[in-house]
Amino acid sequence: MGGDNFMEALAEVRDRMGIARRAFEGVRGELARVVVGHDELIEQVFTALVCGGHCLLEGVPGLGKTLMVRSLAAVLNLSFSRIQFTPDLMPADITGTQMLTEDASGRKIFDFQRGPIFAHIVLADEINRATPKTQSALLEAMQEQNVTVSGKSHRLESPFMVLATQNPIEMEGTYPLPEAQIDRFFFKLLLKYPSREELGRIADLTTAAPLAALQKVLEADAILEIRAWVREVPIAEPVKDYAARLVLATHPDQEGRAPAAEKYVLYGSSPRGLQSLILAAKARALLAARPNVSFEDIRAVLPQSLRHRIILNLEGEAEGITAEKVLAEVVERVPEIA
Amino acid sequence: MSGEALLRARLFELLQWEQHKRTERLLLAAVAYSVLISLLALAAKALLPASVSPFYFPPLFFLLLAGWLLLSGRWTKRDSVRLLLRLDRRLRLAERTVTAWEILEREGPVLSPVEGLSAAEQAVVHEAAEKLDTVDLKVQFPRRWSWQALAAGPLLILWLGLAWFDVRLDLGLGAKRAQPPSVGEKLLEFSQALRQKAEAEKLEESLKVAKVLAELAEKNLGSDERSGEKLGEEIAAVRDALNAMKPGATESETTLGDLTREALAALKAELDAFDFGLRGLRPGFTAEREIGERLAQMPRLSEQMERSLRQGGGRSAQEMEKFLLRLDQEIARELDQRALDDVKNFLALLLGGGGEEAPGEAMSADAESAQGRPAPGEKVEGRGSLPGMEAGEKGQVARPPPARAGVATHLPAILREGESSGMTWRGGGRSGESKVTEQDVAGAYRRQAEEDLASEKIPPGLKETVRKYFLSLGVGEEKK
Repeated sequence: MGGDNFMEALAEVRDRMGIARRAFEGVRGELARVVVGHDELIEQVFTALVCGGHCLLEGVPGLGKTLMVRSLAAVLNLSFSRIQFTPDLMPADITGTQMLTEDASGRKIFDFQRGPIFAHIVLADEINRATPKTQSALLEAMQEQNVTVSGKSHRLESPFMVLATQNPIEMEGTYPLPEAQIDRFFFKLLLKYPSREELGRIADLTTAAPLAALQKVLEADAILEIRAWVREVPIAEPVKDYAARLVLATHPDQEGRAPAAEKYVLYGSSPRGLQSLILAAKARALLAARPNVSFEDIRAVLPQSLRHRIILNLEGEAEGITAEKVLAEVVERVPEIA
Repeated sequence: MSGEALLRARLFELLQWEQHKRTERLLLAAVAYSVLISLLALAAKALLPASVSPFYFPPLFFLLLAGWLLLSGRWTKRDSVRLLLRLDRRLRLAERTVTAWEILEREGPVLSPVEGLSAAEQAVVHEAAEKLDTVDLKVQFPRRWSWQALAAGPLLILWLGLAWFDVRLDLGLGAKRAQPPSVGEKLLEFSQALRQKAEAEKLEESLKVAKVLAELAEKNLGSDERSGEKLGEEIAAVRDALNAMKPGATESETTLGDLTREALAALKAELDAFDFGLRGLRPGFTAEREIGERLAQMPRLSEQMERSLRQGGGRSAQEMEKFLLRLDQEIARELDQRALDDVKNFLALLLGGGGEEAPGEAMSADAESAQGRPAPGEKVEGRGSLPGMEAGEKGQVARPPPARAGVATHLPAILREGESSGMTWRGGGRSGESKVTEQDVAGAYRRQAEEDLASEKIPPGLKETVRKYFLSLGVGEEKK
């Protein structure tokens, strides 16, 4: 292979990295106009988007979860739908249902009426307020990007992303998400309370004259292209092995486990955790304009990738241990080179 | 040069450099450890056969260690990965080099063309090559000397010095042996030697004393200092008892008291031979002429016999038999007395703190000096020259240096006209240390005797006796 080819390939990859970076900067810049103080969160949501994953956003009411998702849909030039989860919400309310209608000739036929799931960006607001039966209606859509109603499959358009929110403090009348459902979320993101300066800016934004509408800065095709580039980012075997050892260290019964995992964890991360970890690390490398994945990329995406996949035991719950604490010890204990 | 070729060349250079360093480090470690082991081996040299030269140790250990170290520390793919990860960390390349190396390795062996790389992979390779192009990898990974490398030279010099000057390190391997024997041990050893001698020569009094000494020694083996004092008192009591003993009646026609130990032994041998021959002639006892011929070949016995005749002894068979019996008893008594003198001297030495000399040597050497033996250097028949005076020290008796088991000891010569008397010999082994079997010793003596029988060393009258003696030893061996 000649030097010219090399240079062409290098230029192509640098273009890609530039495009991805600019796309991210554009989205972040637009969102920053309406969302205050969630830079890190915006980056993580964008990462999930370019990885083809779904996010579970957890935070107390009023932190701007819904606003952020709505704003994201607005700047991405993608279709958006919002589902407010309530205890009486039925699966068909999400996926859609067969309706008896008349065709042009007056003949009665069953026509599939698409539910709100048929959108690029779906906001599942307060997802834990619906019954598990209704929550599980999302399973097929999230995993396979497909909906089956009355024995007929309906493909969801790409890019497809579910952004679910839940309130961690109002537990009365809620149905905690089943593990299988939680495992399908690429990231679990925690919203922090804004600082004093951020609160001031929020006050300014929301009590002054309305802002001009958000500009659409990214098209669906561009997102799909970036998704493909993400998957092409090379990862070295030692880095991959490091990620695998991190995942294994969250298990209480695996060799190389962290002491905290052994003591406080009932079940460690599933293999989906590893997929999420590596894919997110690739996206992070691409967005940072680096051609390959580093150990640091793996560590940076570890909490959001694995925190919802670790199930604490009773002792851990009783002692107030969090998945973040366990993961911090895992990172501390697992060496980069085995 | 393309980015890919450049990267391959730089990585190849780095890997070669690191492999070279590792080989160096392992070989130096092998040198250091082999010299260390050789130093320890010097301490254990006494346990090894004398034919094993210490100069073989380092090369031997080096070969073994180097082989093992090079085998266990051989360069693997894992080492390459570790090295490249270190390089990435040092140059802050975010694992770019190791990723690029994997991409190149996946595509084929080093320095082969790369086909089918994706754009992203080519970008990784190119960026890694760009970064490494301006870096001096040997500077990034300089040679560092380990303690083994630094210690190898001094250790080697130390070992060479010790081995050259034959210095023995004592790290406790031969601690027990190196310690001087205790009074109890010396006494036990002496008593055993005395007992053997007494039983061999049928010395009644000496045998009794040997038993007493053995009991005394066994009672006090491994005793502490306090009981050591008690042992001293008991030894003193034995010595006093021996001193109080009156020598046996020596008023006779013989002059055995004037004879040296060797002359006495020779007389005893002649007497035994004569007695043996006499028994062969007893039927009739008429072969007076043959007796005369035999006596002519036994100068010491015939001298004693003539002295007896001068003092009025008869020539009849009965009187001769009486004379021979009495002579035999007197010889035994004289030998017994001399053995007891040895005991006295040895006990005196023990009590006097002369503990550095081996008991067996004290038994022979000191006993002789106590008996008023010939002055040092004086030629003694059948005995050879004794170690004597050092040059320029007339009149002073130079005591022979204490002989130690297995250690070569040099005896200084006497500056005097005549035969050189300088000699080197090895001290006798202590009890329990001998590795030569009784059969070997007996066999060697028998072979020597057979050679001597063919020569003129043994008087014709004694040849038959000697032959029968060794034949009897052979029978004994077969019985065993």
